[in-house]
Amino acid sequence: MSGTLFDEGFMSKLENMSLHFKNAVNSVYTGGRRSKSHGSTVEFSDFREYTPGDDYRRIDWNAYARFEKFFIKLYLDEKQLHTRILLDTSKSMDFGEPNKGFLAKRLAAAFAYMAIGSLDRASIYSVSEHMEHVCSGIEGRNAFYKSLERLAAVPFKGESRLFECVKDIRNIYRGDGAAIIISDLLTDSDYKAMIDYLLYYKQQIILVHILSPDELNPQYSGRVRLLDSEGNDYRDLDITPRTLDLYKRTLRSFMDDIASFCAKRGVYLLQISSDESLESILLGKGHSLGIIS
Amino acid sequence: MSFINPWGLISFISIPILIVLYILKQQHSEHVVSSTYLWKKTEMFMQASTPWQKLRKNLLFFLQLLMLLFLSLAISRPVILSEALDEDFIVIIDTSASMRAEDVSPNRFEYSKKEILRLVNGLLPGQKMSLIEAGNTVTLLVSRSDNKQVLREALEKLECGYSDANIDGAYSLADSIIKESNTSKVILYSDKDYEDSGNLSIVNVAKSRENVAITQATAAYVDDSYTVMSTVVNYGSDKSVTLELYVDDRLVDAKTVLCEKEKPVHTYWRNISQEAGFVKIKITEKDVLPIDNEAYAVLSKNERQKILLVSEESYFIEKVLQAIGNFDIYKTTKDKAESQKGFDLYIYDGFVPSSFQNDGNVWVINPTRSFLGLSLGDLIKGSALDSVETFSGKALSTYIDAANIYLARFWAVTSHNDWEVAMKCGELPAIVTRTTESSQQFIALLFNISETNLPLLKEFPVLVQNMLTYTMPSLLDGDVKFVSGEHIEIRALPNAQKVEVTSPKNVKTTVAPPFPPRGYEATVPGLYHIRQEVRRGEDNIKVNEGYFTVSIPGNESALLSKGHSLDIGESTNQKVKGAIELWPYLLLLVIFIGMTEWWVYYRGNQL
Repeated sequence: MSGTLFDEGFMSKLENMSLHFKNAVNSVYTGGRRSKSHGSTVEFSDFREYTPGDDYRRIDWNAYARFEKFFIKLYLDEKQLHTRILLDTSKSMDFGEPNKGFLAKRLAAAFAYMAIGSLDRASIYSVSEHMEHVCSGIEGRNAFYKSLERLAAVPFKGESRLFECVKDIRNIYRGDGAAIIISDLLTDSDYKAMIDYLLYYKQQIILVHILSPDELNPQYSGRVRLLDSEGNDYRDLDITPRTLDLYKRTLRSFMDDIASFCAKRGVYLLQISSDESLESILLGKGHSLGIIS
Repeated sequence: MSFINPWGLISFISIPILIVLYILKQQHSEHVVSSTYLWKKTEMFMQASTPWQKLRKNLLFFLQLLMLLFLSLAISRPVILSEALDEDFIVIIDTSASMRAEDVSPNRFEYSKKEILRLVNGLLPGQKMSLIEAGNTVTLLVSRSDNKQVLREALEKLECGYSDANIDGAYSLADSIIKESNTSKVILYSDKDYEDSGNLSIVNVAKSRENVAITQATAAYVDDSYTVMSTVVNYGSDKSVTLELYVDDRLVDAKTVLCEKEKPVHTYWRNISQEAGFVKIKITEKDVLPIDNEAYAVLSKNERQKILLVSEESYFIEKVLQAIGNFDIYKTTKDKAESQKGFDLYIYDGFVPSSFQNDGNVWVINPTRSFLGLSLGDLIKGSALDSVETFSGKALSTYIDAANIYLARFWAVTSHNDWEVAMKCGELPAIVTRTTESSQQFIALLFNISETNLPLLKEFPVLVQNMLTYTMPSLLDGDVKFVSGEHIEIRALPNAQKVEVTSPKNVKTTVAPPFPPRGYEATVPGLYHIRQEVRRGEDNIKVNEGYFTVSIPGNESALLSKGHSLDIGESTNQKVKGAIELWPYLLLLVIFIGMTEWWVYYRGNQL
């Protein structure tokens, strides 16, 4: 399965990519990212006056000689970021040519790989009617490769209930983190509430909105019955050029609304089509967005 | 609302068929999509931008449903009955001459027929109509029939007359139908000013009375020539009219006269040749009733009739005949009487010849013996005369009161085979008549005129004139006028072989043989020609010709003459205006809905 998600060539390209978030992290785990707290690295950060209880070994004697006051030398602390990848595995994701779900899984794997490459921890969750851990706390490449198989085996089924499931994420309140949501957002569930919820818990968010070419540019005509893949719902429509035009206007409005919301909340947004290549998404849109370097 | 063609309601079955077809047609091509989330939003957007869009496909269905509904209704031919026309009814149509007026198109009569035809077409199943023609005579054309074809044919055959209308008679007939059936409605189509009453509804078809009529045309023989007088009455607004005079169909003069409303205008033409047969007076201006714009006057032939008077004492008869004039009177004595021939009338007073000549009619006054089946008894004392309701009785007692005539004595008749009693004295005949198989007419006065008060009475010349009229064929003598529809008694001359009448439309009718001639019904106004072939001797056939005129009744020219009050049946104050058929309106609606449906469909495809 890992072979189908990634080929060797792309894996080598991923080696050189890393995820970037604009804010420093605050985590209990030591990792590869600068923390807002001062730590024990060799990288100088600042001075402060000595107060009783400080480690006297950190007193800067040169400064004492100059100012006759005890100053403590402070160094930057490096923390580990927990990147949570929320993969929408509702039935609607298993659709389109090329398949949205397949691209979504590849993206999830790519983001996880980049995360562990930055000495972060990565977790992948499948989100549909319930949330399930696909692979939790991946650290190191061996663990990643093992998790790829589990990721490939995740089925697409049921309806998408993003917000309800996100509330089930345990330990999300423990320190800063990153959440990467990969979904088509074709759900009545309130994705905005979900994002607000994650932001409340100081999560940095990347939203990958994925749609298939059929959804972006439907080709139906005449009297059709459109059956919802997620349930028993259907729509009887008389598809005319005007109907298609109205659909596209609805879609544009929908996507604009997502973009507007994300911009207001400082959420990175990647709006992609399932016929785009992984390289062009990450190296193109991801790079231009500044989340991948 | 009722239906003329209830079987048409079967077509309503097409409505469920359409619904089934629509349900079957609702097949869609199915496509699985990832989510209908965006399509739902699109639908909402569509409804917001074109609110009726959601209904569009249903709208087409409903429009088609409405089309079928109205079409099925139209096939069923619904009618709205304006008040109680769902029962049997009687239609009376006035066929009088005034119904020929052309103030409505094409004329009042044809207009009425069209209206009645609409009623016939609007008849409901089982509903019955009776049709009565009110002309000179009343005819029940169709009695309580629901067969529209029969009613239509009766209407089609119906023609307008030239006489007046016997509306009362039509009412009596209608009344009897009402009493015998549950019919309670009578609709009269007329141009007279009757008023609605009881169950009667009047449809007055008259619109105008702009009519000028020649009401009279007469000719008098004065100083070896004829003077013709015409009377013109204008029933409309004041106007001048031109009168043309035709003598024997040749135009000889024209006069323009001013006719004030309802004031008779008399116009005279003098010095008309005595050789002429008839004159025609014509109004050149057109008006609503053309048939009274012509009138004829017959000029009597110069051939004077001959009367042989055999009398030694009848001074009174001779004087009266001379006073009446227009005869050549020959007198002779009893001994020479039997050899005299070639007279139109033989008068034997106080004398009965041994045999009668057969070339003329005969009066026998104060017979002295029995003759031709008339057996005389003794002379008895008489009293006042009394007229008898026989044909000759009516003819001889016209304009006289027989009770004024007293007889001192008269001959008591013991038997009078083949003789008809015209007047009697007490229980015995006083004046008798007889017509032989050869049309020879006899009048016998069974008393001596000098033994009566007749010479002192004004009735005397009238009685003699009546006797002359009875025995002299009046149709060939003088200005003879009849009114359309009048029954004309035609009397054949003694020894007449053939009597023929030619109408203004050049239709020849042989009224005799057989003799006596049957009556003639003259309807068409105009000049009639009468021709009698009379045998005079073994091989000598003499042809007697003459004219008579027929005109429409004077009140018909007035066009809006007032009808009298009519009452029929129980008063229910119901009005009948007729049935209104709805199918033309329904078809219009179907066409409109069809166009709307096409527009909706076309517009939907454009969107």
